[in-house]
Amino acid sequence: MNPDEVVVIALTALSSVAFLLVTASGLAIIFGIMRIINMAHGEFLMLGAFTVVQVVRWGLSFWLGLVAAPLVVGAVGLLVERTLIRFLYGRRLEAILATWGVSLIIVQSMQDLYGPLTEGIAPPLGSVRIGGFSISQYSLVLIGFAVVMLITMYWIFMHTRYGVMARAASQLPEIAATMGVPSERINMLTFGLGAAITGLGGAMIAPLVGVVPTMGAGFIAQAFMTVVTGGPLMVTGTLASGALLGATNSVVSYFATAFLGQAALLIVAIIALRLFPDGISSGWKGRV
Amino acid sequence: MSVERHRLHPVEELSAPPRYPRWASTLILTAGAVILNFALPDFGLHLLSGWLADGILALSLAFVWGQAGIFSFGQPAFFGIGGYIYGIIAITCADATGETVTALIGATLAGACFAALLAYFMFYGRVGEVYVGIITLAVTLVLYTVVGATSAPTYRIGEAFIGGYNGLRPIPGIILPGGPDQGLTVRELYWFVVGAAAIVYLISIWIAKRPLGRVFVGIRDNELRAELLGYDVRWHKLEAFTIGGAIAGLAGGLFAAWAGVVTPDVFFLPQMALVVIWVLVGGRTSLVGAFAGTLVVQALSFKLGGAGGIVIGQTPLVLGIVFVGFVLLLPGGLVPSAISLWRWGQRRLVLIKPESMQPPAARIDAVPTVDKDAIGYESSPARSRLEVRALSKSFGGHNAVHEISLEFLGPGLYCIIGPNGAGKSTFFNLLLGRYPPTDGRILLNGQDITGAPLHRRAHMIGVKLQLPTVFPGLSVHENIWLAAYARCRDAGLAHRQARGLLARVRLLTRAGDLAGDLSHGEQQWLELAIALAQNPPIILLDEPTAGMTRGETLQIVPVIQQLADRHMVIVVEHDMAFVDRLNALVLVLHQGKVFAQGSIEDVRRNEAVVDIYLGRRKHVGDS
Repeated sequence: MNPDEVVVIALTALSSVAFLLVTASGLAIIFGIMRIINMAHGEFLMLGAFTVVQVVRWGLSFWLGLVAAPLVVGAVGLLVERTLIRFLYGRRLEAILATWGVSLIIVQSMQDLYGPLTEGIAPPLGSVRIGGFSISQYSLVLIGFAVVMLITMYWIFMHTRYGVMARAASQLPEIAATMGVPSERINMLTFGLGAAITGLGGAMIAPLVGVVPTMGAGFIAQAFMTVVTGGPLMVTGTLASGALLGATNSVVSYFATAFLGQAALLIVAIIALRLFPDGISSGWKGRV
Repeated sequence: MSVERHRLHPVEELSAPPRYPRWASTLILTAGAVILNFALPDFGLHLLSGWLADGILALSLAFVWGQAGIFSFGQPAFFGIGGYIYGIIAITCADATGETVTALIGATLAGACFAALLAYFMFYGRVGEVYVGIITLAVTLVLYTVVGATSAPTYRIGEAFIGGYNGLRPIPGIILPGGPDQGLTVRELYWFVVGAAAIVYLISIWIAKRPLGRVFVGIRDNELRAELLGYDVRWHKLEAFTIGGAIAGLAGGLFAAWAGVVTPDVFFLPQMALVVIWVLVGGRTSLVGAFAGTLVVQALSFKLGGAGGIVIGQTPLVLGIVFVGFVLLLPGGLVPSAISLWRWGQRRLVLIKPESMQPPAARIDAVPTVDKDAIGYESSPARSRLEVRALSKSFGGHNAVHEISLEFLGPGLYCIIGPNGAGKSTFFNLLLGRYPPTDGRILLNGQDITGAPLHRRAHMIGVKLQLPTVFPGLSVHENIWLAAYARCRDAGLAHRQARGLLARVRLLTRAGDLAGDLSHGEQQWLELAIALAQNPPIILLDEPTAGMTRGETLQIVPVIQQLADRHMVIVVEHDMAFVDRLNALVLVLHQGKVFAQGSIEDVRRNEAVVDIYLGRRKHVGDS
């Protein structure tokens, strides 16, 4: 194995980790703060990707799509929260089922609007050559996106008023409420924020995948496993499990097949959960 | 006691919830199946057979979810595995053996084995409820990818090519041993599936009515309490999950035989969504509801979403709306809601006098005598010895319990007191096994039980926790029955013991009520009865008077003293007035150590004890 190949494998693994992180972060926020499993997560990703498709169709820049996607999907998230989720707090299972219903409705509506065909978006950047290998510049940019996304999340939950309240509300809801934390508003904002970040993630991966109304289903298994394996700390835990699972997936895929990579991801996740039933970050000293 | 006896109702009647006649549903269903046989053309019967196979799949989810409280997305995985295994065996062996019933049995076993394997990882890993949902979801989706990737002709088992996304085909239908080689006709297959559905349904009803089924419900209702009674929750969940896997595997085999093909789509999200919708619509707590929900949803989506329907191609949209609608408006599902409506109507029209109209049970005014035969006590008090050697527990550097060494002898009454933060609760939980000690050993009758799991200790140690932990969704009688059954494993004996204990704690008139409907004080009595039903040599009581009125507190004193004649009773208590009356050996804990011990008078005379309660420090040291 020559040095170029090592670099390429490392970069591929990193971008695979980044892919996992941008597609799972929004779920981690909603699950971490609200303990709600959002089954419509894949559809939020899909809506983010479609926002980019629509923006590009209008002849505007891909980068503008990246800005629009979190706004659009954040708004959808707020709508879902107000009309549905807020009736289901504390009823986790019902929330799973209801968001699943939402996911079915969104998929079908998008199929009616856009048809079942795959939309492609050309990667907005070219590729770079490393020795005998070429790697797309955009997948390197994605690594940067993931880093920025995690730092932003960290900042939001450590340094904003909302972030501190949200963490308080998720840990001791009653006490937080008696201290004046408006839990209703916090929940609404959390769901909206989670949806917005999911939409942004969907927009970011749009050039790398086929954009089609049913695409969401392909991501949720990995995203769920990343979040569950990550455990209670939604930034550092998700980062750690994303690194573990993403690296496993990409290394196995590189040396064997993509399908074995998927299987390896799941097996590693199940073993990790057998060892740390509450996720790998349970018992860590950090705060988010 | 005798004052109350004359207005007792037979407990069996009270504890059984009012039901519609059991034969009625069987009769209606049989009649329905016969009528449909004549009313429908072959095509309709063919569709119906497929839906019935789906109904069996739904039943498997209703069983694990509604009965045992395990929400699983994984039923389609077991269903699909059953389908593939049926296909592989049937394609490979049908020519040689001339039948495919073995293939169906293989499908059932395959579903059960895979479910058991998954259950082992989840339940023995103590994965939480929501995580079980996610893991089963992920496993099923991975099966979709894995099986989908097998399109190359090299993927072949026996004579069968797995076929990737194109699926495994052609799969022979059901061929009975000695029957014609071409398999069953449409009508025969219909009756075969009807028969299979009926058998599976009756077996699951039978299991639900058996003690095992009640244990499942107990675990669903309150896992901790079930474990404290001595049920190995992990094992019982594995059992329930495996039974569910077998049912789903059988359904998959029937489906494969019916359709002639299995594709990886059986593992995909739409299939998972459908199974949950069937059960949600039918009502998760109703086993017959699983079939009802399946037939309603499938018939509707066939009518509305199929050719000529009003929402062609929009089935997912309709299903999504059904999902949301049922969750928000009718979370119980159709069948349970219909049953409660029927009962409500019955009460209003027939004017049955409900039990709740009777006056509440009279409170205790004399110490009840123990009906020893009914309770099934051994003739002699159980001698026991609980030794604690240098037991320590620290939480992140704080020594909550620090090298306590004690010996308790039973029967006898001990009372542990101490100010807040003295280590009482930690010590209690160490004895109970809820916390592993940092250091030290616990010996019971000379046997080391330091590392024994909760459910193993339960046979020796009964417990009443501070907050009542009962099974809120079970009747009062069933609560005590579960406790008695945990010990004796004899349904009839447990029933008699439960009845005796009901009388003893004055809850006979509430035997049929749900434990969750009892007042806080009544739940304390119930929990005491639960501890008694276990009849362990050692009984731990954590603040038994919490939430009781002063009057009730006084009533419980003689009961505890009477208990101490036959058991070792260790009480952790705050209420000094109560401790005064108990007349027990008092142990004062302070800063994780035994600070003083003796009779209550000794302790009261001890200046240092008075000081730590008042917070003065001159005798206490400087911490």
